Amino acid sequence: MNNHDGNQLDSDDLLAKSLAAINAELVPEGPDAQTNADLLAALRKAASKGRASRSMVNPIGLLQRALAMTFTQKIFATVAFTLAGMLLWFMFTMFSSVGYAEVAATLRSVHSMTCTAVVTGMANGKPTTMQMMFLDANHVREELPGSIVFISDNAAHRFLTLNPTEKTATVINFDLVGGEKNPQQDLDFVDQFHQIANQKGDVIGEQQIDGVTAKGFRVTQGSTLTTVWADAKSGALLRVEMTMPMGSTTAHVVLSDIVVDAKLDESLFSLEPPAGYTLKTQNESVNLNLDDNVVTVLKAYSAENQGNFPPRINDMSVLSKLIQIDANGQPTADSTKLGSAVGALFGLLFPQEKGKDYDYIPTVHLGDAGSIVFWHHDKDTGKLMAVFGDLSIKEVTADQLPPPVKDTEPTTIPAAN
Amino acid sequence: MTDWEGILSRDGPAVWRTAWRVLGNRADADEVYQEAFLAAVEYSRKHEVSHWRALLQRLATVRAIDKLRQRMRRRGREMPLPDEPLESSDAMPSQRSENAELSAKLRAALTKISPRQAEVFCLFHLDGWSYPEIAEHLAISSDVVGVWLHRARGQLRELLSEKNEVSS
Repeated sequence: MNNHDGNQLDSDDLLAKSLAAINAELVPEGPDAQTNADLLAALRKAASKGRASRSMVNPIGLLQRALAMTFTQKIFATVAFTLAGMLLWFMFTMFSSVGYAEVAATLRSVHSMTCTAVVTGMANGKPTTMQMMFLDANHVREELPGSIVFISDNAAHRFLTLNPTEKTATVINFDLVGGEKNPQQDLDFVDQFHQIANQKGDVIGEQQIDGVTAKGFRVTQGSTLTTVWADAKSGALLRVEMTMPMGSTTAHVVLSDIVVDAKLDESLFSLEPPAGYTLKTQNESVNLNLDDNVVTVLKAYSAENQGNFPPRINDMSVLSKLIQIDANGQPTADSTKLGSAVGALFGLLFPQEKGKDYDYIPTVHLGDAGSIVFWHHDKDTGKLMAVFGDLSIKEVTADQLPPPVKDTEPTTIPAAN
Repeated sequence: MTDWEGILSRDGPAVWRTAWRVLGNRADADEVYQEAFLAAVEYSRKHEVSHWRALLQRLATVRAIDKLRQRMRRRGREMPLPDEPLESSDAMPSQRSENAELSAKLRAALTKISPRQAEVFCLFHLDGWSYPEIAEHLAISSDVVGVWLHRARGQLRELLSEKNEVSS
């Protein structure tokens, strides 16, 4: 079908130029294998049931959308960047805190680790499975559905995304600015490991995991509830379960198939794109100042919502809808800043406990200079900092803080079988 | 019994690319692709299908235009979120930027004209269908195809020049 009947458009015509631009785009080969597998299953179901509906196909979840949209991918990259680090941080600090000496001793000598992470609560409730590999704490590789690969060098603040379907490699260089501390310090997981947390882990009993008697410990850190299951005899790590609020939903992460000191080829963590990939490079500025990011997000949300503030300050699904594309099809300058702010906010609030370390009061209205909409305790300076309804940032005293606002509490994960 | 696996393998990539050309991003193309196939199941219950690829491409085009319109309604003046344009690395950065702007404007303009005219326009200009092929699958005459195409182009030119004047 390639007969245009000689119906050519004038090459000076804006319409002709626009059409030529679309036709010049390199269209990917086709859908990925998972999309086809889901569709084939749905088609067979539809054929057998005598009716077909959209609900028969797995929805394109938030995660898939995030992966498919390059700009949103930047936000997700920021989140994944943080999440990988936090997973390590929780695991290392927690083991040292439960008094389970053999486990702690093993982990102190960890140089590399691989595991399977199943995350629910981020993609329309559907579980997302990813393979995670850690090398020397600063090098992380995550293999996601659709063959998407994230590789990060946390010390260099560089991030590589590989999309084998489209043969594209995207390198993101994070320029971390703001915050009172040296940003590098926040990202040094080995250092975090040695700064052992003083929290107590509660022994919650024993159960069988894959035929092995496992002893469980539970620790609450910030808003995250973590349960660790280790071999009751050897102390080998068997499973880690984490539950954490993510805006309006609660995410569950289960780490299993954990292999400590796995032999990992350094090439798995190379930030050089494979041969044949089209390389794109992006430079992202991420502001680590919590208050600045809160103001950026509140300003963007209230501008689109009659001066109201979002129900939750770290709800990725709500905030990502604010991203705007300009007439050139590119994210606006404000949206670029917003994208970074959303990702940074998520990462910065992740380890903090709402109501204790910070609080957010969504009922405050834009312009209300006398009301605190967000406050947090800056652990480095010891100051209480607050964002007011007029989006000004001021130091406040404890007696100025509003009463705590109830929010989604982390729920207990079902016991592992 | 329909050989869905065979149809998917033979015609799936072409149908998916039809959706992608209209939408310019993978997530929406995936959804439209799946919807087109499910709609084809329903269609095939009542009609004999002699040319699956053509049917599926047409269904994908119609749904892709719907998807563009939904996005425009939901996001006000915004355009659908595009993927990073994949263009020949030979193109100069300024050319890539200009092309991205032109593509986005045309996709936005397609949501402002009648769906039927947009469909004919996309089948002809993006999928390379001929007048007789469009006429056969839409059950209209070739003359009507010509008229709709002419009207579509006229309206799109107006919309594009309006946007151009505003932006300049």
